[in-house]
Amino acid sequence: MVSLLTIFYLLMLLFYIVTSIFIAYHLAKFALVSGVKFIVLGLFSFISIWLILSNMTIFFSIDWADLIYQLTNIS
Amino acid sequence: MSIFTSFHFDGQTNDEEVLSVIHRHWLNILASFVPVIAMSFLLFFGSSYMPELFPSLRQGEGLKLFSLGKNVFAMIIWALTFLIWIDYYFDVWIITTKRIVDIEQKGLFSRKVSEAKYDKIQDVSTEVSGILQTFLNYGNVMIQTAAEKEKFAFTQVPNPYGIKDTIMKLQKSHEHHP
Repeated sequence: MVSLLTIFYLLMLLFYIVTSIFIAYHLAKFALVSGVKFIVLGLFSFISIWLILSNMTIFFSIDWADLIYQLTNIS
Repeated sequence: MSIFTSFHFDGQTNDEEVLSVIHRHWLNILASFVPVIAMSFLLFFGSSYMPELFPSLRQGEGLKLFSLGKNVFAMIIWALTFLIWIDYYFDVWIITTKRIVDIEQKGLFSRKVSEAKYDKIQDVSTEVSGILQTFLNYGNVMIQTAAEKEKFAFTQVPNPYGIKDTIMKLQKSHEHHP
C-alpha cells in the first residue's frame, strides 16, 4: 500500500516538474524584455525548486504505514 | 525614439523598431486570476482555522499531513499563476515601423505568429460594446488585410481608438514613403 502511494506521489511530482520545465522554457524563450526575463525566470525557478524540495521532505518524513493503519482502524 | 526599444521578438529585423506592444486589457487577466485568488484565500484561512477545528492536525503525523496538503495547494497555486500569466503576457500584438505582428499564445502548447505589412492593410475598424468596455475604454480592433491571414483581430485591448489611429497613420505614411 505504501509503495503504491509512493509511486503515485512520484508520478504526480514528475508531472509537476515537467510542467514547471515547460513554464520555464516559455519564460526564457518568448520573453519580450530580456531584463524582466531573468528576474521572472529566477523567481519562478527559485520558488518552484523550494516548493518541490519542501514537498518531498514532508512526504518522506511521514510514517505512511502508521497513518494508514490508524485511518483503517478508525473506519 | 520609442519606449519599447528594450523589447525584442523572434524575427525582428535590425532596421525594425517596436512602436507599441499591446496586451489584452488588465480586466481580462483579473478575471482569469479569480480562481487563483480564491485558492490563495482558502490556503491562508485554511492554514489558520483548520488546526483550530481539528486538533489532530496540530501535532505528530496529522501536522505533517496538513503541512503536505498546504504545500501541494501552494504548488498548484504557483504553477496556475504562471500558466495564466503565460497565456496573458505572451498573447500579444506588436506594432513596428514595418508591420503588425500577432502572436497568439494558448496555454503551453499552442503558439501562432502571423504578420501584416502596412501596404497590405485594407481596412481598420474598432468595436467597443458594453458598459464596462465603454467606461474602461477597451474593445476590439479588426484589421482587414490582403495578406495570407485576411483578418487580424486585437481582442479586448485597451484604447482601441488610439490603436486604430496609430495603424492608420503608419499605413498612410507607408503609402507616401513605401
